[in-house]
Amino acid sequence: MRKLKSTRARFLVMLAFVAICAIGFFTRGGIGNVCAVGWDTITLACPLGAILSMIAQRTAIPQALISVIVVLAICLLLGRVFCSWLCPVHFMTNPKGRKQRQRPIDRAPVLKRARTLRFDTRYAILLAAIGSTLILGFPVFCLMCPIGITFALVLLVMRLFVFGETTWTIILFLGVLIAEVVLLPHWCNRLCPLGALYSLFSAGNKTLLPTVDESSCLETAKGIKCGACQRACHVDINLHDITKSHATLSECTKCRACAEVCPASAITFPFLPKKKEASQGAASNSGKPIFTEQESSPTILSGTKEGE
Amino acid sequence: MMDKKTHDDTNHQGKGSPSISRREFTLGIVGSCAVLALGCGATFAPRSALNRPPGGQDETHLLSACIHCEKCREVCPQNAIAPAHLEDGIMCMRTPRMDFKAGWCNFCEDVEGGPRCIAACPTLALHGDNITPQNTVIGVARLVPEWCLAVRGTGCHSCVDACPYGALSLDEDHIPVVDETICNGCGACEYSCISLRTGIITEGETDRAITVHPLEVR
Repeated sequence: MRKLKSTRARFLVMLAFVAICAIGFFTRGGIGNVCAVGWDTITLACPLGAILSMIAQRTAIPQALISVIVVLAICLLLGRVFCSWLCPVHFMTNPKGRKQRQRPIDRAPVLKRARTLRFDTRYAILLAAIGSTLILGFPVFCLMCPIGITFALVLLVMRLFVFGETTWTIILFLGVLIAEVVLLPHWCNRLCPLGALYSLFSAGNKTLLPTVDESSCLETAKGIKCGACQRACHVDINLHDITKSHATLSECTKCRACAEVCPASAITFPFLPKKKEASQGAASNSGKPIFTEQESSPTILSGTKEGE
Repeated sequence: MMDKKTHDDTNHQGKGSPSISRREFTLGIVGSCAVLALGCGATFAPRSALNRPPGGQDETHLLSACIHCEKCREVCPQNAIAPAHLEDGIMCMRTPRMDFKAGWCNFCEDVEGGPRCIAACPTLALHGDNITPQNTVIGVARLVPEWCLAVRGTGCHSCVDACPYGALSLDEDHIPVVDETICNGCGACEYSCISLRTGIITEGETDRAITVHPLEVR
């Protein structure tokens, strides 16, 4: 099936990233891991870690500042790609490429106009991470970050087998991971402050945006209630009307799930948006009921929904 | 299931749902409080003093700046840095500590630009210019006479031979003595100590006979 293609590709990219870091754990090159990746003394630190560390020290640190700026530039250029292409937690919350428990589509807040940013609970956690660091004077969130913990766990398991190093940390980290990723629903969409930071950074991202070709889309061209793209979306973006969506386009992680489930192959990720069409689409769709046939395409829906 | 959702679709939209629902608001508050509570818990949890890599002797600064990336551990040419664990305190988890069983710190005297761990640290948790073996004290070596082979009259003097700074000498009974004014805690003695490493020769032995201890927490 076509859907598997991107999920598998993303999974392999993520695995390769973890594998490279795992090689780095036992070589002297200084490849680092997700918290500070790079080579030798050149390091791209995790932007959240860098910011928290600078807040804790109350000084600007050149390398941390450069890391934040570089990540900001990457986000402006590519959007939130980290979340779906490199983050292992994304795959833990979506076992077998299945998405997290969904926020009901029609429970999405209705906005008066499309915005580039929408503040949700992740920003509360981001503020809490910054606030706790301000109060307590150390990067509190780094202690409980499931992404960092995943990489730490890989290292600890390797050290367990290579050096016979036994520690309760392994059990604790496993417990924390299970608690955060398995027991807490919607870690990525509702709690992850790193994701919030990436969304914030991606607010100005105008490239590689998912674009619906309205002449071939079943909903716009034929008036069939399809909605496959929205159900496939990991961050619950409503591509057809961004004002009735749980998330704005800045949340898009470029995972390509929508493009792959689209029965009409109407969704593309052009590097540069076609301005004319984009503005037309937004105008023609806002608020208009486009669903005429209620359950006209159940086979398409069930077939593409989480189908493997 | 889909039907149900579409049912209250109009209902919900008719009310003009706020941009943040009550449930989301609660989740945000609870989550934020959890982060803060865990942070407070970690701060007040007991933690043990650790031998830190050069440039990390200011414990408060190290803990405030370290983002647990373990880059210092990775680049250490002597393999002398290991991550600290839960047993050392929640706040110390994943922070760097010296592991003198695996290597000892030569302060990268043979490397241009000073210690590699300091150069690699992205957040300046390990910091300092001109870090030399003379101006930095990681800890201080202590001998446990009950476990030391020299005390048993075997004539072992591995640690004395290993010490690069002449901080160890043999007394008249051929037992190693540490000169604490010279010792900078480089760990060469601990690394070279053959007690325990070659099997437990002395009864009740759980560690090497000479180990580096962190200085008293100031």
